[in-house]
Amino acid sequence: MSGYSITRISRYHYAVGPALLLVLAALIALPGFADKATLRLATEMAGYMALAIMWNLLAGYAGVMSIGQQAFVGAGGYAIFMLAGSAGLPLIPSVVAAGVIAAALAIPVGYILFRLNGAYFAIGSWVIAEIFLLITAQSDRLGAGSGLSFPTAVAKTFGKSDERAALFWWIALAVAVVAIATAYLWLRSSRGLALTAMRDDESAAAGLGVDVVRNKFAVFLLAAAIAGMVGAVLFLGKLRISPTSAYDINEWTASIIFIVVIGGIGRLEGAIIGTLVFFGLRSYLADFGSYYLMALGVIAIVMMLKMPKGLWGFVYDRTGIEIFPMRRNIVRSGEGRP
Amino acid sequence: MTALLETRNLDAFYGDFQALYGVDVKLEEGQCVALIGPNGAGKTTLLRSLVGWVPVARETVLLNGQPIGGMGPDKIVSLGIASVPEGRRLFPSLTVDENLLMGTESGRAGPWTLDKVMEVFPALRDRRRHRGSDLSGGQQQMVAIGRALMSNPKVVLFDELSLGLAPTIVNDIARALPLMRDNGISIVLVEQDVRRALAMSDYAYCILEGRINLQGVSADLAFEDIEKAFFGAEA
Amino acid sequence: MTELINSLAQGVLIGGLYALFAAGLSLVFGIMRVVNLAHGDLIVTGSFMTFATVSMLGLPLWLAVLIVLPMMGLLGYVLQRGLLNHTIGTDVLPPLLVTFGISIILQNGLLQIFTADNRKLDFGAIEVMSLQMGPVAMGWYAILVFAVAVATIYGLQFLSYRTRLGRVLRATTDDPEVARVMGVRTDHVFGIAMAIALVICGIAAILFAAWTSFTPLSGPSRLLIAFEVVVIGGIGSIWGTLAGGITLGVAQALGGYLDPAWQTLAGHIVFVIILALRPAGILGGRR
Repeated sequence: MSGYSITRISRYHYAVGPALLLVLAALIALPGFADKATLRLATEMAGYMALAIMWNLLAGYAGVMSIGQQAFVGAGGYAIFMLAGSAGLPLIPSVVAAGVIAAALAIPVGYILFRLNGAYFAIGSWVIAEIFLLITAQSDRLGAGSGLSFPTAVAKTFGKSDERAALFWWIALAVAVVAIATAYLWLRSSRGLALTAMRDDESAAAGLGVDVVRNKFAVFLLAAAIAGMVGAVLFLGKLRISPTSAYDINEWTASIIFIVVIGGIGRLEGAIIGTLVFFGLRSYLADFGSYYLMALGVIAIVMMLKMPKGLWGFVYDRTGIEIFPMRRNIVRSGEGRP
Repeated sequence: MTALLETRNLDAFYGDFQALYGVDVKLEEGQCVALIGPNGAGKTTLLRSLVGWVPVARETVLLNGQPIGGMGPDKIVSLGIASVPEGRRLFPSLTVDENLLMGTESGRAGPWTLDKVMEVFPALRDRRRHRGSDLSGGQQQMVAIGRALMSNPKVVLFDELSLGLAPTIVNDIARALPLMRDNGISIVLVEQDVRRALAMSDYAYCILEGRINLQGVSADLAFEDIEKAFFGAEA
Repeated sequence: MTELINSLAQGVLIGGLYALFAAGLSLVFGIMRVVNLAHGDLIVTGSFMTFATVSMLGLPLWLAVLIVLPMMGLLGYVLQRGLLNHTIGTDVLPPLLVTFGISIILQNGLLQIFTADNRKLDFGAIEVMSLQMGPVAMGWYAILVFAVAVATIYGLQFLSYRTRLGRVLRATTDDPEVARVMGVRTDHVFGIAMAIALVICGIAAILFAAWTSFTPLSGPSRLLIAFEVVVIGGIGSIWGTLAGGITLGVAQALGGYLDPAWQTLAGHIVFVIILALRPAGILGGRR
């Protein structure tokens, strides 16, 4: 009788790794053949995708429903304006620092929020984001209600307008890659298994010795760090920040939720496909203003009710394709996938 | 003659897991039937199928010959099948009287009133304004039974009547069963305590791994046969 | 000093309005275990309904009340049976996401119909009349709002503890599964509960429409107030919503007394402090 082993890899997955590298190479080379407007759009997409990956990790895997991620996006945005702008510190360390600052803020925030349950956590996180907004709007150093402009002199040190666009794109791409990689590695680790166990049955996971709250907290901090870096790079691109744009729930949370719901909650690939769909819809329909937003609301509700696993879940259930393999196959040794 | 309540070739599932395989049981008018078997054998699933908590095919549960399988629990109780769930499950924030009155939500007419329940369980008399959560286990069980009676049922399903209660208290409660039968109520009993189940019932079914593997008139069933049935035929 | 006392009195009175914002949210959470993220937008929808009937159609206020409240109740029942009942289950995500979607639809729908202009109802002379008690002056309209709030909450209490519907609602709150086995049509009861919640929202909406100006985007801040009141006052406690409302109203009044810009912030901060100091007490140990 032959032995069995557990593997995540099925045959076609040997092709996935090289294909991903190829895509990544093409994305890095993007400034070579894309114009400034395209780069800006791509930068925005990378930022949204990173936020969506993290929100998916929070809600889809850890069962943490936050609708206050704009707190950390805004904090990161303001951090970069203070660090790289006012203080003139080097750009890339400043972006990383923005992430660290956001995560540091997430510690006391999490300490309070994790006392709240499910749905109450959601609104509590929103209250926290409102507090961030109101305090920022009271702070003269942060430009109070009218906000800050990035100092032109400092912006010029990043190069000419199209060089800047390329630089910001690479940073945003790096943040997105870091988000996907950490989420993927996290989910494949023993902590990831714990996360999935938590999602499926919290009390059972606790019974198995999984520290539920600590695991959730860790994901929350990671998500805050990524959100801070995304805020940093996206507001760098805008060169302006104000309290209402920095802590905008529609921009930084509602859109992200839409992306995750459309793409598929609980699937890393869902965030990617959701981002593409969202930006596709936006480019064609955004001119319709309120009607466009109402349509997004309707689509999200219909998806939630009729296709709760999202587009990628729909594809996965029919084909079994995964870009980031999570499922474990039991394979008889000496044979491939049966 | 059609039975009052019967299952025909009943299959039941929890998701992908099949809990019952082709179960046939019968309850005649005025009878008390016991379902016995080890933990996880499918007794409670069978009861939950009758209550409407587990979805099953329409034709597999019949009340007076009419198919009722898979109907909602609210519909089933309105047809006269009441239940005393495992663990009593009183409404903790309601008083004893309010708990009992919830039985009237079945919308069925009949003889049962608060006063009549108090006659059956005098121990509840001075507890009527207490909350369900303030009562002892035995008193809670009395309220749970009273609540079922208030729906004026034809059949009452008992899930683990004696679980977690002292034997003397169980005896007190069990006295209600003959009284219920005098009032024309038939009974299905799920019970861990095999001797007690046989003593209280007319007919018994033994369930193992989702199948009936022994049945007979309670008085005729030998305890050894049941022990054998519990551990499977080949043991 | 007089100014401080005046603003505190104002804080207590607006607490009544806040309690009305919160009562429906609390009721719905208690029974369906659903936090309705569209709650604030539903209140604002009620305000716009009132605005439309009074200011646009020119109907008298009493008629507007008779139109708006039943319409809100109907809206609640239909919303619950038609949509929200399909989201109830063990997972908290679907109801949150669906109500979030409703929130966005309502906001943008109202924007489309009523534009982003500030609106306010005019209730006439009562808005400027005040009751002078020694040095303290309290607006008659604020007193009216508070009285309506107390009466509404008393009514809710009466309904819950003195009627058959209330008994069924509380039983369903305790254990919906067993309630169904007793013959309760829980789908219908959920619809009724949402209808009651939205009638209370409607009462709040009418009072709110004359209290201050509002826009289609005023909903989220009403939701946050309602939520904070529920958590401060204790989940599931009917009179707790009034206590929570007054606490929040006074906190805001104190903040606003120190610096007008701090009014809203002070409310949020008091909420966070209470949450940090009394986590289990407020949530009743549910985790």
